[in-house]
Amino acid sequence: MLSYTLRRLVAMLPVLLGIAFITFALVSFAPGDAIRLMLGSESANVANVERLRHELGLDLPWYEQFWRYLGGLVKGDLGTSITSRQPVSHLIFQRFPNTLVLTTASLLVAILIALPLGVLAAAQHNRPGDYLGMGFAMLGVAMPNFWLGLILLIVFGLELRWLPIRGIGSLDKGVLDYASHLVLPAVTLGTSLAAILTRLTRNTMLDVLGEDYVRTARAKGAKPNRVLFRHALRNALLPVVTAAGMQFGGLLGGAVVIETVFSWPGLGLLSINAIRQRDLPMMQGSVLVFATCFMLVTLLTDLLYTAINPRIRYG
Amino acid sequence: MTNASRLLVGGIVLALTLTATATAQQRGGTLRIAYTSITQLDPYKTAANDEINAASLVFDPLFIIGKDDFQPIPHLAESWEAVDATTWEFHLRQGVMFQDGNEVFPEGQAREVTADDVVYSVNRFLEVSTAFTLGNVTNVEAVDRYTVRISTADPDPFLVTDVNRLARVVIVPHEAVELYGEEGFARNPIGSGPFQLTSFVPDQSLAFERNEDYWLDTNLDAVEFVFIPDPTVQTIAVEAGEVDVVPYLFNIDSVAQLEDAPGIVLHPRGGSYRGLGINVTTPPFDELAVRDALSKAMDIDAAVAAVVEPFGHRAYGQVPPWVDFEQDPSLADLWEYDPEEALQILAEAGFNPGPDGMLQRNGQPLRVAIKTVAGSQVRVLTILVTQLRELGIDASLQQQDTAVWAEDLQTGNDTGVFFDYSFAGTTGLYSLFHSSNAGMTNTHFYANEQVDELLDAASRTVDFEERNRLWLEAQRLIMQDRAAIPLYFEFGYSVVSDRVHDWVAPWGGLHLVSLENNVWVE
Repeated sequence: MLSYTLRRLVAMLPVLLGIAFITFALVSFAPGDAIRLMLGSESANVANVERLRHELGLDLPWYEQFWRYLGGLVKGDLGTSITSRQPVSHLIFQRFPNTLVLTTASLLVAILIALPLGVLAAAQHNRPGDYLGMGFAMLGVAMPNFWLGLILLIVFGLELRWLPIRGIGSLDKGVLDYASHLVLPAVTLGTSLAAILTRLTRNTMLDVLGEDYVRTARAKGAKPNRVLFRHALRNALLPVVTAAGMQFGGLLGGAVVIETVFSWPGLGLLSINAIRQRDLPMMQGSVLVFATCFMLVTLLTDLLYTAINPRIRYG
Repeated sequence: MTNASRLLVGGIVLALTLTATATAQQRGGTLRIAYTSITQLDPYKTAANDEINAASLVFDPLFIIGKDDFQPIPHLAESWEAVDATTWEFHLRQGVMFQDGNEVFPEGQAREVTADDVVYSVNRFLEVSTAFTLGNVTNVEAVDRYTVRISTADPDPFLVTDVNRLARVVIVPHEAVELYGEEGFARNPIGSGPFQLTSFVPDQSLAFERNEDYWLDTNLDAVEFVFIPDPTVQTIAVEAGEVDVVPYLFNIDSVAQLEDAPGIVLHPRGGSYRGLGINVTTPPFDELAVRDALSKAMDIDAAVAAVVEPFGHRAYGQVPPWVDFEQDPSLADLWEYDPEEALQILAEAGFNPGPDGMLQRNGQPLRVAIKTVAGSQVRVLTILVTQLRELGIDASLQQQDTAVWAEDLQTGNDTGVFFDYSFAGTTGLYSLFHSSNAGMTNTHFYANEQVDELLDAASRTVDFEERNRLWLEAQRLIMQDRAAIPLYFEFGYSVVSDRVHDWVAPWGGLHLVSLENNVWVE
């Protein structure tokens, strides 16, 4: 298992290199650049902007810029943001924990909603519980998350005043303050994943409930709840865990929108600003961190299989 | 006097007293200001309004642009005068101290702001500022401890009157930049301003407390900048009482809704120019007749009335009402809505209806693809495009990302027509239409020797009347050449809670305490 994990970690390096190259190429060849954006202002200091272009090496051919970037990367230097002229790593590592908290909380919300609702839907196949679960699954996927965010914000923040409408709480003010700030963004971000997982849980549970061993368990007189949770759910979980792991990337993408709506100071917001301003080093840094995160979660998902299904072994 | 009338008089006196108390200035309290993004606080290295606003609390400029008539009023400099045509002399206020209680100046060890600091600051600004230019400054020197002279290659009246020049140079102590380095200074700003930084995590938390040793008596205890990147949520937050101020309203469409919101006051100040720009080198817009016909084919008044008014008004030139130049009412005569004449001009230029009813010349349709960024102007442009299409002109809107739009315009803009928004400050015409700026700030690629000469001469003319005449003449020529089709001036607004008093909307920086205002909260 350890050697498997190590092999997977080493295999990430060429993938990351490929991602760095693709991002660099995409951004270099896409129209619009940060320097031209600065020059677009009527009060711009043309001479100093041109000097900045030179200082940052943005006048070099793209392959030379990429080579320099890789050189820095090896030394752990993600470069300097063009617009704020601050080290990219400094800005990213200040923000990344916030995104991690938000996405993890959303994943938790999604699982907490999806598992009970999916099991209920399967157990009450074609009965009210099923309609409830499937109704939620349909609504959850259909609602755009920025819209849901604004509606929750207006209802719970502005009208009822139960929850804060913006920002991240402070742990200095207690866990409750931190959690109250987290509720709305996590629920908003987690809802569509919850919808997907509810439908998946229901379907895999229905498959498993039709298996011979479940019938055998029932025939042996096992209690319905024991059949449902002990015999069926555990086997039904495998595809659900895979989907949850794969969808984590979707959560990171969704965070970009949700962080804007709820003023959550995370990496998503940083990336969207970097894209708007064509801040190449900042975009590169954010994409690399997102990609690494995604790969690590995929690895973690694979490792989780062994815990769920002892028949799976990695050597 | 009966008991009843005594009671009545007593009640009135009490009510008046309470009213007077309620509106008298109060010391103390925290002002909460919404912001979109603040990643650094070096005032010389940003063009972003939020960052400039925050830095304005920590640093003092020599003068600020006054709230009533956009004229410079004293701040760190008590007075200034032109020694000769190319030299300005500034006399500093004495006894102004840099903030102490920090790593640079420990408690009780602050030093006075002197002429040397101004020299250092102007030189550093010249070297590092990308967003603003000081013009052709040739020398900065300290004449004595409190007197600074700034010399320019040519006479430069804009140095003082333009909000984007010397008004942007806030005074920075060299010790802070030396101790922290360029990067570190942007996270640990130290100046002589009314507030000192207490905490800063980029796009997360930003707080200031009163500088007790400031040369003016500051009302507010503290200022907190509240991170809200979404403009819609910013206005919700001010309605919900989570913040006190949104310094700039991004979307004019929400003004109508906020105007009637209880507990909210809108503070208008200045605004921005909105128009159609034309790349005069892109066929067929390199032909004056085509540009002229385009200007006559659109009912701009109707579009502006439908979308913008009363939160903006029709523009006939690019010099806005809030800069140091007179308005030229005769410009209105240059713009006439006459679709029939437009069609006639186009017919003379060879454009006639083709089989599909659309105008064409040698089989090529007359295409007007307007490149624009997102914003409320899209609704105005949609109306104009519809009008053009009704006349048989193949008009369309191409909405672009700002970075793509900026690059397209600077590299020549293949479609020839673009939405143009600019602050259009006092030197706006020079940046936007002087041939030396073609491909950079002059995205019209407009080159007219006569206009260049007029703009050059105006930039060197100290006498206001003469400068005004030259400037307006240049503007008239540009408009006659149809290098731009002005649409409207949109007003700028701060959205402020009615608990906040003496607020002055930012103009080249946010000034909460100055010789003309001192913000306080109830």
